[in-house]
Amino acid sequence: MNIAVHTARAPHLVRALEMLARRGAPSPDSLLEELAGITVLVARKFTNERTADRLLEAHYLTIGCISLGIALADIAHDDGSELAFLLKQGAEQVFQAGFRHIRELAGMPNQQIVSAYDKAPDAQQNDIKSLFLKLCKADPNLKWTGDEVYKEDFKARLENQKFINCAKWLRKNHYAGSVILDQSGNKITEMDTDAVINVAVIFSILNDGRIVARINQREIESLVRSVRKAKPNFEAGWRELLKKMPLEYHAFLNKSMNNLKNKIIQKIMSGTELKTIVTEIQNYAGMEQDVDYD
Amino acid sequence: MPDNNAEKANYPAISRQITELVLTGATDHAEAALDEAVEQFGDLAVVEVLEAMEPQIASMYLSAYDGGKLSLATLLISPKAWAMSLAYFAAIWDAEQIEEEPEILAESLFAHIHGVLFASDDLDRRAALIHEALTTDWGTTAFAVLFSTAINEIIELANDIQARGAQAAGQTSSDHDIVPLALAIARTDADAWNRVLFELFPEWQPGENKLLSMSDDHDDGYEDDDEAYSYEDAIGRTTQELLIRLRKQVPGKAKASKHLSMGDDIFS
Repeated sequence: MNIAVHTARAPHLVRALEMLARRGAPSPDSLLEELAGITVLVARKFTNERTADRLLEAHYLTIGCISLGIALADIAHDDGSELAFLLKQGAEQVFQAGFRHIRELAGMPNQQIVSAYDKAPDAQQNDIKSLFLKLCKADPNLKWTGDEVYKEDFKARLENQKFINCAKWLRKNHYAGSVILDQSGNKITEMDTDAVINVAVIFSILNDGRIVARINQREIESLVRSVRKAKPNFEAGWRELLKKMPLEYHAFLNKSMNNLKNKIIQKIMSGTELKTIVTEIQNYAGMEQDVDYD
Repeated sequence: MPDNNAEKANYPAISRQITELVLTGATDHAEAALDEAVEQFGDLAVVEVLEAMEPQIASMYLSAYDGGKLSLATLLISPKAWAMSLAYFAAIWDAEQIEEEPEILAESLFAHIHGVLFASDDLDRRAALIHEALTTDWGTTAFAVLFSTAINEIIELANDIQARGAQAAGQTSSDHDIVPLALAIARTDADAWNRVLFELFPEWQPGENKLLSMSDDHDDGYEDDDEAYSYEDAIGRTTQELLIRLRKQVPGKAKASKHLSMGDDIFS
């Protein structure tokens, strides 16, 4: 089990301002004006600028977002350099940089399944807002770890992105042409990522050189019949599949292979009843199996 | 700033004319000009004119039409613009008035708010007005001022709502004008209701302690201190206290900053 290591500390902006105070130089008016201005803009957009407690919340969000901008900037991370960076760029620029990081994160998938709703503008706006509220709320008197959480979220979403790209690659290289339309001719807007990979893994045991990303029931039946007749070496089939795929996707397929090896693959190779196998593959193939109406 | 606002509106000439008339105190003439605008351009034009008006001007204008007289503005002003204008209602009060005649000030505030809320029977509009006014600090304080003038009714109502919910409650022993107003708030916007109560009784924890008004402990407090109230009871703010709080919330003039801001671009 991984235990996240958090280094508890005050928000970066607060530390930078404390540094400024320690130097004894008067803080530049423009910086304070900027901070106040940003707080009002944040309140107008996200909280409510007409009540004191919502303004306070906007104040915390401002501190957090600027701190995120500082934390993720490509600079040396000691109090002195962070302060120099803040003074040179100005609070608004640094806030904007922080907010862009939030946008970038929101642009990446937060789940492994692709749904038609993901790309809707209000879904994306909601994602930006919820990430902003989650990561950037920094009470200057408390410890803040928004930047650590950001990095973890970023890693998780990057992994999702790769996972989805892997399934997209399989769909694109589907033996019967890229998977775009379903059987009734409607555009497919959703993707059950796990299922696409499972299908490809299951169907490659035949080692007939095909890449299969989407199936229907008849294909399952013919797969089982062919496998029982030809008795192929399923691991050879998998090696062939992996050879065709970009290296970065291998991990996802290996995982699925290990997972399926002693379960459904065993059953296909042995004499388990066809009906049982069809039902079981349906579980693995999820939404990636077209429904047969006959 | 006024020029800025007027240019944004579609009817800059009317906006400027009305602003000037209000500033010179000729609210009747302003009303006539609005009336003409309605004839010529329709209701929506006036809504826009009122929207573009600076809140302190709108406040002056609306306060000239309280209770008895009805203005077009009372019916047409957008909930948001009205909420902003409320911030300036207390601008003309001075410390002496608050000290000596809090009832008169509270009364004029009541006439104004009641007038705007109950000018039409459009329930959606009333709900929007209540909602917008009570998502501001000053609006919350203004409503608390009204409540403080009938503190015993409000205590009765608050306990009733706490016990039975806003829809079922409402039978009070009094026919004070404040009761329908308070009920309208509690029934359309529970959050708003809680905010006003909190402004009026900052120490109230429903179920934990009991609501008390200042007048209560003056009445019986001297005879039997211990039984009349305990220090844990939530004692309401007085009308006077609330008027002072409201007066303090009137926005001052913001100093124009020399600093050039990126504005909304910070979110791009």
